[in-house]
Order: sequence, then C-alpha cells, then structure tokens
Amino acid sequence: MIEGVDADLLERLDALRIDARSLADSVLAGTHATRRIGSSIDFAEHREYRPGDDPRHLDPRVLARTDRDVVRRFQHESELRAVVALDTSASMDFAGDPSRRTKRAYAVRLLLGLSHVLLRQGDRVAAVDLADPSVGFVPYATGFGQLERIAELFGQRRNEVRGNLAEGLRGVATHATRRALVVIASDLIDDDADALAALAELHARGHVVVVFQVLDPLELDLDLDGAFTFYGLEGEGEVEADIASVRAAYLEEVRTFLDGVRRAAETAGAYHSLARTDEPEVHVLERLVAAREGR
Amino acid sequence: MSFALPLALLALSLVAGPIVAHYVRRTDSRRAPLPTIRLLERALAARERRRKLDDPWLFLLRLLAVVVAALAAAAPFVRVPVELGDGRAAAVAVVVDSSRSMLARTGADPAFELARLRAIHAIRALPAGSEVTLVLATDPPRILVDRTLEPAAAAGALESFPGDGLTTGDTLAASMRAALRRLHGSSLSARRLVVYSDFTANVAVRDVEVPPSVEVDYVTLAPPSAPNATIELVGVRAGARADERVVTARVRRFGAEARVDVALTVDGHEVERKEARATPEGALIEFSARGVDADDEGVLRVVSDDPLPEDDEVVFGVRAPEETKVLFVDGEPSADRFEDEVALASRALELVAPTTGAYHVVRTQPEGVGERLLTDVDVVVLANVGTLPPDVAQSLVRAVDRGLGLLIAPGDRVDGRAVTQTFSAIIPARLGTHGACEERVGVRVRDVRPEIVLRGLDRTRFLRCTELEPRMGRSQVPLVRGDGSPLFVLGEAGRGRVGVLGTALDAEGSDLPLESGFLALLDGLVRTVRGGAAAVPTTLVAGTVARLPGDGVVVRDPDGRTLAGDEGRYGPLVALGVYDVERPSLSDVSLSVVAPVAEADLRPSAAPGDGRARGSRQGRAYLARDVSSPVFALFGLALVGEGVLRHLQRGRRRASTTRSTPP
Repeated sequence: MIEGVDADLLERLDALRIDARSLADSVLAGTHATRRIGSSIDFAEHREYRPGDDPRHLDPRVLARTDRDVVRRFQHESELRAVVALDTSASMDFAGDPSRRTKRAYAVRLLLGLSHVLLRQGDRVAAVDLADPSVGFVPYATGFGQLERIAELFGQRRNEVRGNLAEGLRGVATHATRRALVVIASDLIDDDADALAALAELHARGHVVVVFQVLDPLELDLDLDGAFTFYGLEGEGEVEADIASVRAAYLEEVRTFLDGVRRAAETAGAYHSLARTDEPEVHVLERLVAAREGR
Repeated sequence: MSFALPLALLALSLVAGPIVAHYVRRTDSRRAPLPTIRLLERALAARERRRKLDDPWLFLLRLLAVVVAALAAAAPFVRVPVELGDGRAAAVAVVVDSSRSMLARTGADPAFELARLRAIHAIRALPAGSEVTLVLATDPPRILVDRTLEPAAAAGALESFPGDGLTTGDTLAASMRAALRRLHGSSLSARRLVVYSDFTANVAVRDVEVPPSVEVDYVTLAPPSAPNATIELVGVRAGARADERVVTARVRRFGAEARVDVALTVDGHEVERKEARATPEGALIEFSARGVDADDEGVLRVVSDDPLPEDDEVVFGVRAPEETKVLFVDGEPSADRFEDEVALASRALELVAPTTGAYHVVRTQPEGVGERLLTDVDVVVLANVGTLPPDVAQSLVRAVDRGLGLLIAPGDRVDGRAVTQTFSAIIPARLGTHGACEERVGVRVRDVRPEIVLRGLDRTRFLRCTELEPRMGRSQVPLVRGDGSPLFVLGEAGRGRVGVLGTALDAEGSDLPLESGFLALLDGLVRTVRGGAAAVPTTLVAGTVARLPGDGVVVRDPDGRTLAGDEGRYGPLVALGVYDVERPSLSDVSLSVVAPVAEADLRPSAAPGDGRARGSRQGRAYLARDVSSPVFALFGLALVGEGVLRHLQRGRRRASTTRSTPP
C-alpha cells in the first residue's frame, strides 16, 4: 500500500477517468492564453485503437491498407506530461480539528489520486516538492512504481520553516522543460503576490496549470467561540482576538482573499479549484472532470 | 443625590472591566494555531480602522450595570425638603380649612384642593415615627384621623374627603382648639400644629391660645385677588295680591364696588332683572313677582364672573313667612324714648320687619303679662324686668317649654341671682353682677348663629354690663364683647329657646341702640330665640343643623328625598336649595339653605404669625430618603438586558455562519 493512498481512495479512483489530454484541452479552451507552444501539430506515431478514443483520430489510410483500427497520435499528445506539485510549507501541516486530515495529508491524497489515474492511463507523471524543488523532485516516469516514488517524495519532511511558493513554482518550470500539465496543491496563503505571478509564468511557458487551493474549514469559517491567542505556523507571530467581535470582518477578508486568488489564477491562465479538507478528495477530482465536460 | 457610603464609589473603577473585556475579550483566551493569521490581522486592522464599537448596546449595558452597582453599593439617598418640622419625628396636627371661601379658584384649582395637596404631600414626607392628627374645620370640628402613626392612612383620609365647602371660616378656631387638644394627649415631645387656610377676613384664629411647646405653621393658600360678588335672600313677604310676593335681596361685592345685574327667576321663568350697585356692605334690591304659587321656587342670581360662583345664586321657597309676634315687657317704662327700656328696641324691630318678614310688636309692663298673652306671642323680651310675680314666671317657663322664645335683657333693676333662680330650669347662663364696664368695646361673633349678622358693631361702647356665666353643656355663646366676655348666651329649653343679653336694650347700657347695626342685631336675636321648636327658620346656612322638633315632622331636601331626623335635628344640611317642611297641625314651610355670606369676602387678612412658625428653627430641614432600591432595580434590569442581548447575539452568529464552499 502506498502511503497517503488508501484502498478506499483507489477504489473510488478506479471509476474515475481523467484524460489528461482532454483535460489540458479543456483548460486551455477556457483560458485567455490559448497560444500553444509549438503550433504545428506533427504526427508522431500510430497506436491501436482503444475503446474511448476519439474516432476522428482513426487513420483511414492505415485502415484501408491494413484493415487495422489505429489512431494517430500527434506530437503534443506524446509530449504531454503531468507534474504534480505539493506545497509542503509549515502552514500545510494544519488541521482545524483532530478528526480531520491536515491540509498536507489531504493534498497528498489529492495529488496521488490524480497521479494514479494518470499513470494508469499510461501518462508520464513527475512530482515536485515546492518547498525545495531542486532536491524535492521525481522525474517523469510511468508505471505503478512511479506512484510509490511520488508518495515517498511527498512523505519526506524537510527542515524548512517557511516555504516560498513563488520559488517553488519557478522550480517546477526548471524541471518541466516541455509543455506539461502542472497540478499544484497549496493553501496559497503566502502573502507574496509573486506566487501568483509565478503561475502566470508557468502558463506563459505553455504549461497547463491546475491549482487546488487546499484549506481547512476552520480557516474558512473560523467557527469558534470565545477569546483566543492565535499564532502562525510560519513565524507570523501572535494575535489576540475575541471571535465574536472579529469574525464578521475575518470572513470578509477570507472572501476577499479567495476571490483574489481565483481571479489571479484565472488571469494567469490556471484552473483554480477550492478544496476543503472536509470534502472527499475524489469529489474534487470529479469536479475537475465535470468542469472539463462543461457540467 | 448623596451617598451614605461614598467609599463604595471606588467600585466605579470596575467600569474599566467591561471596557477591557469588551475590546480584548481576554477573560477566556486560549492559544490556537491559525495559518491564515494574516487574514485575521487584516480583519482586526479593518475593524480598528472603522472605529466601530462592536456590540455597542452590550457594551453600554455592561457599563451601566457596573456604574449602577457601584452607585447602589454607595447607599444613595436624596435630600427631600421637609415641609413640616425639622426632620424629627413629631406629633403633628393638621387643620384644613374646608369653608366655602376655599372653593374659590386660584387658577384651575380651588384653594381647598391646593390645601389638600400640600397637606397630603407634607404628611407623606413626615419622618417615620411621626404621629398625625387630621382635623377638618367643620361645625363641629371633624377629626378625620386621630393620632395615627401611619401617615399614609391620614393622607388617604384627606384624599377621600369631598371638600365641598360646608362651613364658615370662623369654625377654624374651634378646629384648631380641637387639634391642640389632640396634641396635648400625644406622647411625643415634639409637637406641631399646621393650619391650611385662605385666612380671609372671616377667619378668626387670633384668639386661639397655642401653648409655647407647640410649633405652629400657618400655610396661607392665597385667595384670588379678583373681587367676589354674592347674593343673599333677605326676605319674602306677601304682596298686595294673594299671588304676589315681594322678594328682598342683598347683593354684595367684596373687593371693589361695581354695578351688577341681579335676576329673579320663579318656577324657571325670569321674572325681573335689575341693576344694583354692589358694595361690601351690600345693596338691597327688591323684586316683585306675581302669579306665584305657594310651592314655587325662586332663584336669585347675581350675574358676575368671579372666583367663587357658588355664592352667586340662592334658591328659596316663595312661601311668605309667618308673622312673628313679639311681646316687649318693659321693666323701666319712661316717656323719654331714650330712657324707656323698650322704645328703641321695639321701634327697631318694627323698622326691620318689612324687609325680613312680619313682626307684630306688642308692648306691656311686667304686671300685664298673663298666661293668655303668652300663648298668643312667639317671643317675649324681658327688658330690665326686675321681678315677676311667681305665677307669671312659671307661666313663662311653661310657655318656653311649649315653644316660646324668651330674650332676657337685664339692666340695673335686675337681681341677677334672683332671675337665675327664678328661671333656673330654662336659663342658659347665671347672671352675675351688673356694673360699669366702659373699657369693653366692640361686639364680635364667637359661636356662629346663622340668624345673627353683625355689622358696624366693632366699636360699640358698653357702659354697664351684666356678667354672664354660661352653663356648661347647656348653652352657646354666639356673641362676645371685644374683651371676650359673653354678651349673648343661648340655650334650648324644652321646645323653646332662651337667650340672655349681657346688657340692657336702652342707651344707658351701651351704644347698641344707637348703632346702625342694632337693627340687624335685634332682628337676629329675636330670630334666634324664635328658632325654637315651633319656629322654622326661613333660611339656614349650609352645613348647619336644622332644629325642627315635633312629632310627625317631615323634611324633604331639594331633590325630594326625605331626611331622617334625630330627635328633631336634621342635617347638617349641605345641599343648597329649598327644603320642604311638613308639620302636622301647623302650616308647611319652606326652608332655604344658603351659602354663608361671610365666606364671600375673599379679601385676605394676615395670617397669625404671617406664616412663620414660632420657635427657634431657622432655615429648612431636609430628610434623607434612601433611593438604593430603585438603583438596585436598575442594576437588575441592566443584567437582564445584558443576558438577553448576548443570547440574541449568539443566535445571530449561528444564523450567520458563513461556509466558503467551492463553486
């Protein structure tokens, strides 16, 4: 069993089909920056037709000559890869309730689940630890063993107290030299606006960016009562507050923050999805599929 | 407001508590991680920028609770001025003038209502342990509350008194004496008498002796300065025709003379209206009404807009009064009318008669008095009659018992002891020595008799006086001389009355026969003694008792209700108007109950002491009244409000929980 991926999740993911290529196309179709790197679509190879393939890709000349059902694969298809990137900053090690997973654990499950689906489909998947992309990196590969390697990467603990998301995202770009589907799981509460700019840079490089913003319900709702002394997990200091007197203003700030991140992500050409840690991970992935299918 | 425990106000420093708690809310602070702490910082900063006080009402309520609790703990009290006394518990007797003049309005309220309110307020403000006696100046004085330690009960009794002005102001002195007697019986050392009155000209309290140990407050309810007019019925007599009546009225105006209209109405129809020049002494005005039935009612009304409208109208029956036969027994006849004992008096009565009713005057000498003559007269006047034959004296006694009125006017021929002994069964006073008394000047009223009206006799000189010693429990003293010695003593005897005058009726005894007021005085004296069982007064002042002895007498009030009598006594008759008197074997008569004329003079006289109490007390006393109870109640309300508000706020928070959900 792979750490972070349990049988239940796998069972549920078995029913999920995520066509990375189609996902990429749909994401690209919904963005402003539709320019594709490498505009020419070159034929790469044939392969046997599999149920579910788009019939338009059947090569009629091969069919006529050989009576074989083959589909054409193009250059962009063969070069599409997926990179899953995990924010392992200290803020991700937070659970608002002991009964819930930390944001990091939730994000790991999310990314591993997606990786499982992609790897099962034969796609290449790489993984990056955004806290230290130079070291925390698993190169592209296929197969089940890749999932284990990704899980091992995401399970490592580093001594970094504070992660710089922007640097992590730019580190992804150094590894993803070719156009790829980049799926990022982070809480995005880094105050540095540079992080969102880095997303735009990834898109500008031709990558297809999907951002899962993982947050705990407590961070979203602040459903507490009484007076607290709150402290940050990345050295932000302490703040004393009485919930009753500040909650309304806090919720307003959360809304503003989420709206800002969503708009910035969309502006940056990325697909943004908010994932609450009290929401089953497969729902997040299904929502992603539904968005692709226009549901 | 002051505080008995001012140190407790240090608790006000606790006001900082709610302020701190409200802004910091540290009372139950817990540590917790929050990755989105920067968002929280922004929220706090935004809230601070708005400078908005969260939960202002909750904050104010908490602040109020702390402030009020501190105030309550400091034992707050207010200084309430004590209207009566010096703040010590005392025996207090309150006398309230309930005479008719107190119905005069000062602004919107009658003076009596103002007196009532002030008395109630003063009684309620008395310190605990005070003893209250409440006396109303009625005739006789009415003790509403007798030495109670519950001021609220006294205040309540005064609140429920109707106060419709039953009495005349000269009952105030008797009421004060009654109040002083109650104070004398109190066990408290501090004693106080408070008198609420308008102290108009008719109020006579200067002769009331107040012990030095009693503090006195005279509270003057200032009467209105506007002049007041009044109308009184002088008399009704038969006219030339059987259905004609001649009505004589006297209209007065106290304050300033003026011409006023007076109207006579009979049986609801205005018969005549005349203009009269109304003065304080009164102007006589005569009306003639024809087509009158014996049962008709007449109304005399003076058209005047003044502060006491109750005395602007008098209702009377138009029955002609019966003729009164007066027998003058001349004890010292003389050809000189000034030396003759009865010449002046009998002539005066003949002069008075046309305006008040018929007098039939008969003169005789002592030896001419017989049983038969006595049965044919209504009043006998013994003018300086020295001795009477025993049988004549006994006849007189029997006649008085049957209803004869007897007026004894002793002179130098009278042996006081002998007369007293002769008429011991009926005489209301012992006759003392007869001698010079030139230092005694003036006549004034002591015990009110409605029949007696004094005018112009305050400077009457007395030359020779007979000392009178009223018999206790059997007499009244309607008149006294200026020095207070009895001048006229009256008593009931069987069905008749006996009056004893302390001077002769001729000019040798006094200036009386020569005074302009002698006519009215003599008329009043004769009417008074005439008012025995057989006589029915034609008018009666409201608030007095009508004496109508006899079997089978039926008295009906102006509303037609039959009044119950108590051994021939009916009343006090309060309602103004005409009372019908039915007498078996005698003619029916009408009795008019009228407002007391003396109460019409609203001109103020100086209250004894001008409102200042005797004693060494200076300045005003105050009573500390504890107000911590209402303050504690306010504290409780603040706590309840704070709890309710917090509960509502929790409910609002639960309802407004916002879940940020994925799109």
